[in-house]
Amino acid sequence: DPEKDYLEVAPTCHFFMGGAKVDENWQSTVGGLFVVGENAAGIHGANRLGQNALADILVSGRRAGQGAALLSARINQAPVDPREAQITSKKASRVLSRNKGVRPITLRNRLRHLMWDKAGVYRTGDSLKDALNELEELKSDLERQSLALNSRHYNQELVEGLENHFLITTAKCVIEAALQRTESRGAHVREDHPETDNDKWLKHIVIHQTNGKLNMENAPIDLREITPLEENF
Amino acid sequence: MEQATVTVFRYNPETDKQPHYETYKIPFEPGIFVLDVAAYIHEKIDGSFSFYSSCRNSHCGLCGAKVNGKPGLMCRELATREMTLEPLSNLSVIRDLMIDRQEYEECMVGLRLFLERVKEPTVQPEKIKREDMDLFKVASRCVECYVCISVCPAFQENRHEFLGPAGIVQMSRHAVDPRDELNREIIAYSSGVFKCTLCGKCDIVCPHGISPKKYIERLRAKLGEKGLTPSDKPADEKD
Repeated sequence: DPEKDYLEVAPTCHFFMGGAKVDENWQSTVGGLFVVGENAAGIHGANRLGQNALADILVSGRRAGQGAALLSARINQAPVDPREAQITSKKASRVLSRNKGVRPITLRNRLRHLMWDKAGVYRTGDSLKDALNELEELKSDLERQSLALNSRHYNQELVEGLENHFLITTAKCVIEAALQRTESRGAHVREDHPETDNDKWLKHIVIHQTNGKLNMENAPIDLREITPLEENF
Repeated sequence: MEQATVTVFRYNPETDKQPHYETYKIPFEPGIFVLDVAAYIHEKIDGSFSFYSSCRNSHCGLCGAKVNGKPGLMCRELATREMTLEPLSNLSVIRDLMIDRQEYEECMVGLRLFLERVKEPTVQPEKIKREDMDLFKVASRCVECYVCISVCPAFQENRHEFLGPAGIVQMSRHAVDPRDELNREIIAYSSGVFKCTLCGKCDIVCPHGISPKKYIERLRAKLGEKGLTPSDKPADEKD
């Protein structure tokens, strides 16, 4: 009863403004892969305001649904790269066959704490550089993951282990972009760069991966309907 | 630190002939949830202990289980110093607390769980009456946790003739929507709404306060208006 008892209150990761780059039909650069809602990038600018996620899911869900229906009527089957499938299958087999190592949940918790402590609400160049170094350590543990349950059937721990690969890549994108953006804007707060710098940073940071390497680029912001404000923290 | 004693149903059909129970001692403090306890066992004691969970906030509907015989969502139930955890009844167990959700999901294929409409609304934006919205708003709270399924005597008795409360709530979400154009009554009839005993056990356990019974009674009344009664077959319908 909140009138009489205490309520537990804690800050948490509320929303990801970043995400997969999509076109006007919410299709990603991977053909046939549609991305909606919070998974897509750039819809809300630097910070999502309350209730806007609802508008986001309604618009993106409808457009992506229509886009996917039109696309699937045109093509028979989305091509699956057999090489990629084999890489993932082998990755799963390696985790399943390892008898000793790090448990996926341990790695996951270390990643969570690292991101919260060093790339969380308030960041600095130093904390982000630390995070990047520690992330490399975590990355080297990915191929040491082993499971308590070696079943291929409904094995949540196996899923967790495979997800860790993706999470570490995502974490790296977050850190690299936050490190590069030497200003504060919206939900990105750099204690060492508290000002918003429209001259230098009124743009998107786009990251794509080729052969395991992250390439960073800048992309202009569509300013036809909005006027950016100077904001100070 | 205080301790809790937790007795847990364990069963891995790949290796075990029979289910068995294991007892664990875990650190306890008032205010922790049953899901915290399950996560602790998985993380610190036995990594092979399996259960579903995702949002920790009653929205994903995955962490249903029986706590001291009472079904509910583990993320909502406060832990106690002595507990027994078991999988939900009436669906097959995949492992430990994981039930075969797919087994039930397959019952719902064919229900056409989307707004079925061909006609474009004449006025934009389309206005929906408050009382109509209230009806499907409540039904749309269903997170498909299948806690209701686990207590349903009619489903337990004859799942081939009775879809069970969860599926009927899902169907009702569209059946009570004035924009929906599909004849959902026929689907309701063949889903066995008349096989329900109206015992109301589903109403008591639903973590989101939905009353499946109310929706079943509503569908029955609609069928009654069209002259469909328990003894009739759908083919007997007269316009």
